[in-house]
Amino acid sequence: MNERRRVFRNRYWITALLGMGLLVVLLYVQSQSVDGGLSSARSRAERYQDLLAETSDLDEQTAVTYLQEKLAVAQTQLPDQADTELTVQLCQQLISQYEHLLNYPDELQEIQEQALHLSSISIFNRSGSFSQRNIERTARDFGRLSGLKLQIGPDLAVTSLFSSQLADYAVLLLLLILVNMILQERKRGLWTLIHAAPGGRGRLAWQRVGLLGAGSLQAVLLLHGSKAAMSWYLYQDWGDLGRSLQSVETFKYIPLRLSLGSALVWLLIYKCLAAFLVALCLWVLAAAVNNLQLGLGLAAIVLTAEYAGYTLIRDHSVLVWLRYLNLFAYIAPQRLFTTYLNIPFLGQALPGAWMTVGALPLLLLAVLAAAVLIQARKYPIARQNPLLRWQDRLRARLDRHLAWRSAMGYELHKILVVHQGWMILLALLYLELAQAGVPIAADSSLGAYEQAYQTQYAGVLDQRKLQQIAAEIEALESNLPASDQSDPSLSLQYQEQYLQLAALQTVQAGARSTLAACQRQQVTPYLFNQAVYQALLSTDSSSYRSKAALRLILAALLLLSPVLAYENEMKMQRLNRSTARGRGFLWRRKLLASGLILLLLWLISLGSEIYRVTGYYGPLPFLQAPLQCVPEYEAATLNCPIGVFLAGIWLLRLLGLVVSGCLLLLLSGYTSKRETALVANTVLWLLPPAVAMLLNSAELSYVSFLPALTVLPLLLRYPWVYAVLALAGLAALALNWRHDGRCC
Amino acid sequence: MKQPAVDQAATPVLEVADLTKHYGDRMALDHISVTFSPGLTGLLGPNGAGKSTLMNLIADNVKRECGTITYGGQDILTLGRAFRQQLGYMSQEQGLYEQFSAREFLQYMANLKCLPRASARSQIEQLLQTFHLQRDAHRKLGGFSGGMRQRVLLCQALLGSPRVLLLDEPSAGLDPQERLNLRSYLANLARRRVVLLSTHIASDVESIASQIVLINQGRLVTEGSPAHLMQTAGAASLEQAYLYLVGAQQP
Repeated sequence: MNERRRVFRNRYWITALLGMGLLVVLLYVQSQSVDGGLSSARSRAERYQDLLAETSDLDEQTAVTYLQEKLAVAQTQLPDQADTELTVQLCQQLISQYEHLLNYPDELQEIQEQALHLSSISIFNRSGSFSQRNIERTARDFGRLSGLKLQIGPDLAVTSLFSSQLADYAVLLLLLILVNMILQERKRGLWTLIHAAPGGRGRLAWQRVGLLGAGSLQAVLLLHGSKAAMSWYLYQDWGDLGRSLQSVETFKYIPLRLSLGSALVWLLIYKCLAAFLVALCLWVLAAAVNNLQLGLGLAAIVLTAEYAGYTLIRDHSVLVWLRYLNLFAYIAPQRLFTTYLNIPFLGQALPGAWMTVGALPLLLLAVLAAAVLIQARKYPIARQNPLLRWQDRLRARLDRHLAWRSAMGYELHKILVVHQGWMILLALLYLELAQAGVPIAADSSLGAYEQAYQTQYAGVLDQRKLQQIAAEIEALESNLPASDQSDPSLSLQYQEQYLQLAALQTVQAGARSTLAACQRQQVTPYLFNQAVYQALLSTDSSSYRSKAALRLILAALLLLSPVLAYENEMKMQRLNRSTARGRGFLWRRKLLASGLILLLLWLISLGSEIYRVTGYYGPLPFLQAPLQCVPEYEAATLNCPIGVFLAGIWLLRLLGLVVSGCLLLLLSGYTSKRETALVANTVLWLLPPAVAMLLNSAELSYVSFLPALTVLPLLLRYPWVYAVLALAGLAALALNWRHDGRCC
Repeated sequence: MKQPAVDQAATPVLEVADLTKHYGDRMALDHISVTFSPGLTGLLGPNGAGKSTLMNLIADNVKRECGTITYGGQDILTLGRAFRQQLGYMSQEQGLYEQFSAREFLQYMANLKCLPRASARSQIEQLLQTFHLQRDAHRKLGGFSGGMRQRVLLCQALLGSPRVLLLDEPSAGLDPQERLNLRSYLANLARRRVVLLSTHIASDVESIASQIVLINQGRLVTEGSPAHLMQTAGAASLEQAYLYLVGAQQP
């Protein structure tokens, strides 16, 4: 009872559970919408359900024809409209669903024919060989499905639950936190006390088994449940859950006669048991070594090895069974359940997924026994682990040379090494370079022509250039062939030239407008390829920039929250303050180290943005051109070159980041533990922008640092806010100085 | 602004006058006035007597309410950094960076004490040897026993050869051999320094202290040499004198 209360009523567990739940829901909504907002996801789901309702009364073939016509109409409309893009996407999705219903019986038939054909080839039909058994097994398994009646339904609502494995990995993370919390007595020197207590061995072991079971259940139900609830909220209907599982294309390779509803229930049961198994495995690994840190390190190594096996072993490898008897087959099993592969097992051909499921109870019993034995039998005091001895020796060698640092070096060492900030920096770098994508500018076919003409006429804009454009327009108009719908090649040629003409006319209109705007401001007008500046300066891409800002806030929060709280946690304040440089000097060094970290974050964000954008759109042209040359800024009264404006935006982002850093440090100084600082800062600074992004609420986003780091919308509407922010930063610093720098 | 300087020639005396401190309604120190001359002063008193508060006030870790603390005739708040450069402090709570190795921690403290690198290096090695920590100097402090932590904290207090040494319960957690070592080390060290050692175990200071200050419930009970205290109480040992004097104060 006490053990259960200690863990499940612990605020870290509750925060982790709720935080992960929120993250899973947030990312699920993002994956279901165009701009990342809840309302957009909802309207996408509604549109999907409407399209489905329009076709549900038709037979499959008619539905496909109907949808193809709708798709063709949508494709002839201007493609850079989000609405058209959504229609195209959803029509394609539904066409694929109907075609699956149409083709599945043929596919099943083909499997049987293929089996017959392969059996007639000598190299496959050797009696008792794996090839022969594989062919027979496949034919037998899929033979059971013949005559199966498939039915159309809102598959997107169901498949969206499996599209991302984030919830699975979030469950894994929660289980790691749970195991760490359970074994806290090792960290706090209480293990000997517990081991000596009457109920501190076998009884406690069983209590902890129950705890892991309940924790696994909580994690699975909350994370997958919240995802399912959000899917239900968006789609309002999952269709007939009694229809065959294979009605959903994703599950077409599962050779079982099951209804969709019962399959989902079985999957949930499987996930709960699998999570329990994984939790027990993690516990065994972490508890097998006396040193908790080393134990968790061992668990991390095993997980890495298992993941490598799960992702790298190929289908035809002799070690393929390692993919099915793998921890990740229990953590994220979608891949195994949506493919069909027989593997040799005791002379038989056994479907891999069956092996995974069949081994689950056996593994559970084995790991359970190991876990109970380790908890009950392992002595808290034992010979030092050889790995730790080896680490000690290495440290002894390095210590004399590497331990000397300046005060600043020590502060950076604390942030980057002690608090493992280097991992956060690496993660941010990875996210920025590999996952962030590029802001969308004119990437349609019209935009491409527009860009080509802008590049062709790039340079100082004057009347002569306008005349050249006008002349080319005339030439294009005179060469425009007559549109002939009966001749497809002529129609295509017409469409091509029409698009060119429209693009050039747009460029001409833009150039005239730029010329007028620049004349009003008495600056030299320029014409150039606008794509890169549309990407960097358009307020349309603020959703993209909000995501970048959220990443920055998250990284700053993880890196700076522990800075001052660590001193309190280690009870070092008094000792430090009694030294000559332990007051103002040390505080300034902490501040400087934090500033350097923020600068690094900013450089990572800025550098990767420039790298991605220029890599996609090409280099930044005519940085000396006045701001009014960018269409969205024609009315701007600010007289400065684009380069200076861009630099200003990036510097304001730095200012926003520095101010947020000051506030993070302020709260950190008032907390007595690193975890508390992290939780408090998350609640104050990360939760509002995350919820704002989820709800796509501009109002709520202003309660956070999101607009300050996104810069553009805030700068254009309320530029004075940056002065307020700077003052807030200074006030936070002053308070911080009063609390941590000056007196106690 | 020019920092006030401390007279370098001789060790000045540390004077506490009319020092008072409240924590809420509770009076932690009640108009305490004592002069600490060079030599080892044993600060004796039961738990909660106000010993740590007095130490923290001298180290300027607690805000002073009234009274003065002077070093060489100058208020320590005026001296500020110049005083702290002469100060070695070891607090009762075992505060240290658990992820640092012992040597790394001492180097960190040496840095905060503005010690030149070469001198700090030799001092650290010498102190590690004196307190038998050399073999474990590269190990993380998080894995140290209570006694080992205590020795590391003693080492950091002694870094830079401070002329005022405040040691709050330094022998807690040490084994008998280490206690003896500590006593003889401090007896040698105290000749030209003001060493203030707080304890509630009278035998820790009986043989080495030149002065004993006995406080109870925030008030100064008595002060003087151990012999003087024993004479006053008519006791055969300092421990008996301590028990007699503190007991006499109890209601």
